[in-house]
Amino acid sequence: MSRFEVRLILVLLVLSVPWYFPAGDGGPFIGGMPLWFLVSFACYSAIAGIVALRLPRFWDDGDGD
Amino acid sequence: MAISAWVVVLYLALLIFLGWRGHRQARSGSLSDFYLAGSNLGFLVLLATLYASQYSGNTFLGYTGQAYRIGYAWIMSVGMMMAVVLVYLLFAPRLHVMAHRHDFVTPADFIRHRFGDRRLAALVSTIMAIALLNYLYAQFLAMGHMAVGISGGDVPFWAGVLVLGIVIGAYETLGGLRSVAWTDAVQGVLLLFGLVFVLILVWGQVGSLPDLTEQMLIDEPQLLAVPSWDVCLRWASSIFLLGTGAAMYPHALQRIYAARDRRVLQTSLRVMVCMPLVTTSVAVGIGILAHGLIPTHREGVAADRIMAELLALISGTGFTGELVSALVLTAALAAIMSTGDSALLSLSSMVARDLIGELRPDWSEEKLARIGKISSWLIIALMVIMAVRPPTTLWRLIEIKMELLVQVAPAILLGVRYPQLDATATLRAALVGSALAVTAFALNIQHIAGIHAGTYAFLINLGLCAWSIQRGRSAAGPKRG
Repeated sequence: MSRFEVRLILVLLVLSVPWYFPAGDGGPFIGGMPLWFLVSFACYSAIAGIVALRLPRFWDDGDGD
Repeated sequence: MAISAWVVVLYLALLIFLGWRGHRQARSGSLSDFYLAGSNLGFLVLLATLYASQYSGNTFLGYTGQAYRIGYAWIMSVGMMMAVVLVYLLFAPRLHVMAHRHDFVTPADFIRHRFGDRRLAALVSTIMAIALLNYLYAQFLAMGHMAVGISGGDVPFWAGVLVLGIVIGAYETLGGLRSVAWTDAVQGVLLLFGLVFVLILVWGQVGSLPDLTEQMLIDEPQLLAVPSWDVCLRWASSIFLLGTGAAMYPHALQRIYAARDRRVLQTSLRVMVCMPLVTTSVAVGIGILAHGLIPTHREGVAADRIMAELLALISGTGFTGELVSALVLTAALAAIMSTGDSALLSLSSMVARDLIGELRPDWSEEKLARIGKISSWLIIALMVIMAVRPPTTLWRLIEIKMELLVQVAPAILLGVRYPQLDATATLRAALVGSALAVTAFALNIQHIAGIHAGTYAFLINLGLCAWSIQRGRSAAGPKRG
């Protein structure tokens, strides 16, 4: 298993929760959507992309027993 | 008869036909052939059945309502669904190899093989059965409500539950997982396209999203605001608890067993990890856009009625609107039934293999498979009775689902990877975790400092198992080079 990709996924999971955004009305807005929402969605898209493209590197079936 | 009723009747006939096709494809009367389709599911069917089992009627009705109620913060549901697939990656590769090598049928087969402990296997089966009963019961209730809704009240609740239960029982007992997986393929396609259809139609009626946002900033700014610290904690806790718990559903584990080979499983999971982006986030989008059509959160309008209100608006736009509304209602029913059939098949396999098979090890697999089919009908009868006469007191225990189900996770997550984890320590840890989860439930403690009580119970359970592994390593001493 690639440690770099696992760490990257964990970081993206942490960043997907908008705890680090300052409290406010949700702005700025891009295309009518709050920035914090778009950042969260981008994090999930990146995780999906990493797993979809690099899954064989995560695949650790050992010897099965 | 209304268009929606005709579409549903056609759909139910198709399910029975697929059940019959599954019956014709059966290769033997073995448990593995019936419950795992001979562990020979190809990519498309495996993907469809994984998808249809993970996304239930709740995605359609509950998630749109939640997004309408709490706003953009419900994007957390995308993380929750994605986490399920991420957790699969921690154990599915090894479990798949072991399942094929040792002919596992139920999750408890893995526990018996790995730990050689019947008490632990019995505990795991019991916890999973409780979670599945809860899941199945919720689907039966939802089926009854859908039948009333689609027929405009012409079909009574009890008749809807009974007829749809019989249809599920028919195609499930005819062809086992083959039938369930093929019907899941139909149900999965309906779910995906149904959601996308509704999004397009609702967006078309709402028009400009920036204009809607301007209006929401005036009417309900909290739906756009950055989530509070409490919400963020619950968000993280939900990803952790639901991601781990939902990956432990027995029907999910059995689909890992049923994949034909490593390549099929890999490809299916590569697609599955992307599905929340086109399913859950679509439900979130519909819930947000609904504010453009149902502008204020009216008193007395339950959040899970939002989809029904949207469909009523869509069907009022003419024949096309009525047809789309009928298809979407069928898609919602399909999503409910696909989750129900998977849970039912899994419960039946556990009765046949883990209960009767353990009591009567001399009985043939063919005989056990027949008993499994009978048990399916008995479970359906129980669910119909419970749906019509809602249970109280003792049955309240089955309301506890994810918090309890997650307690089997350490045995599977760590069990596939660490040989140092022993049966007694795992059993004790699972008992402690389960007892804490049940106690918190009994005391009505849902969250502590914003985090689910079940998450604490799970972390204690996991910590005890990790400690056992560390002790095992220390006892084995340092490696000599």
